[in-house]
Amino acid sequence: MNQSRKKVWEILSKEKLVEGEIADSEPESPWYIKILLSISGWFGAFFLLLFVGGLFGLIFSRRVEDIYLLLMFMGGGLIYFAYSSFKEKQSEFLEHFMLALSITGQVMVIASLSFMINDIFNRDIMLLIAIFQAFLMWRIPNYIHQMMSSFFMASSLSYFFYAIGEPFIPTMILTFVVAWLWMNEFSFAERKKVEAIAYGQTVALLSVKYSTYGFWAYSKTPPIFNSGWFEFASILTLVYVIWMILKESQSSLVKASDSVDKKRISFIVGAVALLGLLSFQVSGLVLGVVLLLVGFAHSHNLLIGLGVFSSLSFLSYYYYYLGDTLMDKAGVLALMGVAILVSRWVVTMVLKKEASDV
Amino acid sequence: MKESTRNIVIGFIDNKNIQKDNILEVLEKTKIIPTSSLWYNFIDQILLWFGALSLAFAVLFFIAYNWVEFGHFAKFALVEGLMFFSVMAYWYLGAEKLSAKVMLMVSSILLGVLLALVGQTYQTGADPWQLFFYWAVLMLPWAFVGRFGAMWIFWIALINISILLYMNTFGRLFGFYLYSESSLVWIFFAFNSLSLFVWESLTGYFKWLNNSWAIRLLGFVSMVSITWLVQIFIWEKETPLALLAWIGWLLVVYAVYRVKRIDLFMLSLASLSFSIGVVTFFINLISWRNFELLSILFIGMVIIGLGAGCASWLKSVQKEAHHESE
Repeated sequence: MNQSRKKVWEILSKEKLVEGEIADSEPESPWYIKILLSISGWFGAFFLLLFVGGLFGLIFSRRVEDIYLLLMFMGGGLIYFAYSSFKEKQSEFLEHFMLALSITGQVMVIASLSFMINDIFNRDIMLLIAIFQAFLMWRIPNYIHQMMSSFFMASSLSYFFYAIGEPFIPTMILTFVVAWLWMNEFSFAERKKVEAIAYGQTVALLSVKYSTYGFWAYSKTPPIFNSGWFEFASILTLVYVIWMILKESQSSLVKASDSVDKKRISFIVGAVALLGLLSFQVSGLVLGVVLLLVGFAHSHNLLIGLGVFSSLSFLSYYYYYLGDTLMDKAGVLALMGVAILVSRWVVTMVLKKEASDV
Repeated sequence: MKESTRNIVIGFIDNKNIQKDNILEVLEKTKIIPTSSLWYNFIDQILLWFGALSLAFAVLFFIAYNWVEFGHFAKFALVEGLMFFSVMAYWYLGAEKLSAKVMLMVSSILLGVLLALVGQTYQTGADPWQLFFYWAVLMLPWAFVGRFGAMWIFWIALINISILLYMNTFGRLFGFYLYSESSLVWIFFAFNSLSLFVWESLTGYFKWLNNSWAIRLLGFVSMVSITWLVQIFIWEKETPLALLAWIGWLLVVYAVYRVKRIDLFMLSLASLSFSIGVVTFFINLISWRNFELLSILFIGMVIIGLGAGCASWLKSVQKEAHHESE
């Protein structure tokens, strides 16, 4: 039995918080192995698609566009075959092969829908794809598949909103969904599935947020829900995250009689609210702070890393934002920096004094 | 390889060892939900970083705006004054404190702003690579004094940028005409792999260098550049030196991160590089003109097989490491 696992078990069993036998199960694969599997699944599916496409051409001697119904049935068949296979425990190779087969089937179904209406990037097709992916995400019993379907669902839904000229709505929704999923990750009966979905949504959120900049540069008509709405929604999400953190920590924080602890709570709430309000001007910074807080709230190092990376990249991107002059931006950042450092200093002094008085 | 407490508890939850009503208490007992003092330290650090970086970026944006009414003397006074203040803050706060190290980091960023201001004011005609190179050279004493991983990564990034800009300007190095896509990638590979080697070698002597994120970042850059070199070798039939270097790199990664100690992240990087290399080799063999269907199917199977093989191997290594800590 692994020592660290045994140690945690002993601590918890003393408090009668665990029951049954300690399982000597394999540890969970880290995120980078999951990414490695996803990448090879996509590329494997790409070559399988080329093969199927070529085979169609050989057998039917007609353009693939003309036999879209057959394409749809075959694609559906592949997905169903993969689904039935995933339900059984199988070897690494077979599992991987089924993943590639399912992706191939999905592309075939989507392609046949596009051929049917003769438009590949149609917005209604994107909405259909999102619904289709949501169904797969919920039904297919495979972690990597759930993660990928979750990503494709969010991405195609975002494309739908791009197409109707409202590119900020998906980021507004996704920011909250990501925060909600991670903050409640332990409350779901199907925790593992929710974790896979949350990973997919998080990657989609960041990619959608980065691509919104590109859309903004090329859009002809301004959206009703502009970037200001996104920032407002991010701040609301930040408030939700802080509320959840306080709720979760109730027994260790709010009930604490120690006045220093109470001061600390007010410090945390006040400082984060200040940071959120001040960073309103720097698009995306609040989102980075949300990821940082959500990650730290459940000791999730990958989310903390993503929070740091996204905060720094949004801060750097602010340099190229054309809405304000560099002088205005310098003013905003200087005000933000001074306010944050002064508040940190003042409250640290107060806490230090409180601690020495107690 | 130590399994994180978070993963251990998740294992217990998934194994139904913990009643639903007890989950919150378990998360608190194991500090997965941080205590108030952990929260305090975290928020304190975030505010320090955000505050300090916002100020440093504010100065950078202000100088880039090049406000004419604000004279040269005033601009120099502003940047140098802030540099002086941040260095004094480092000295006042005490070298070991994180806040002091952040102040030194701010000084290093301001140093670059100062060099840019010199170029802007005196129109020195210097090439862009010089700005980043001298920036790296001049901040070196602070990097030594600071003993801070993030500062060294910043230094390595500056050198990488100056290499890129130098090669773009001259296309040669130390008088030798080297410019081609592969020469640039060779230099990146050599510099970043050397940095990784030095970093890893010194980690045992200096505790502050023991940052897994920094080592992983250097490993990632090293992997990307050597894999890129192999791509160039396969597609453009350049010197087989790249192939030898790639095989050597894979062997070294295996020896260090599998035999000497286990690091799954580095082994995953090597697996990815290996898979890309092998798949590219086979793709290059296919005659696309004839669109050989069976070859395409073969490549698809090779990709799936390699992915499954690598995942299976990595999982077995992970399992071994897990049981080794018994």
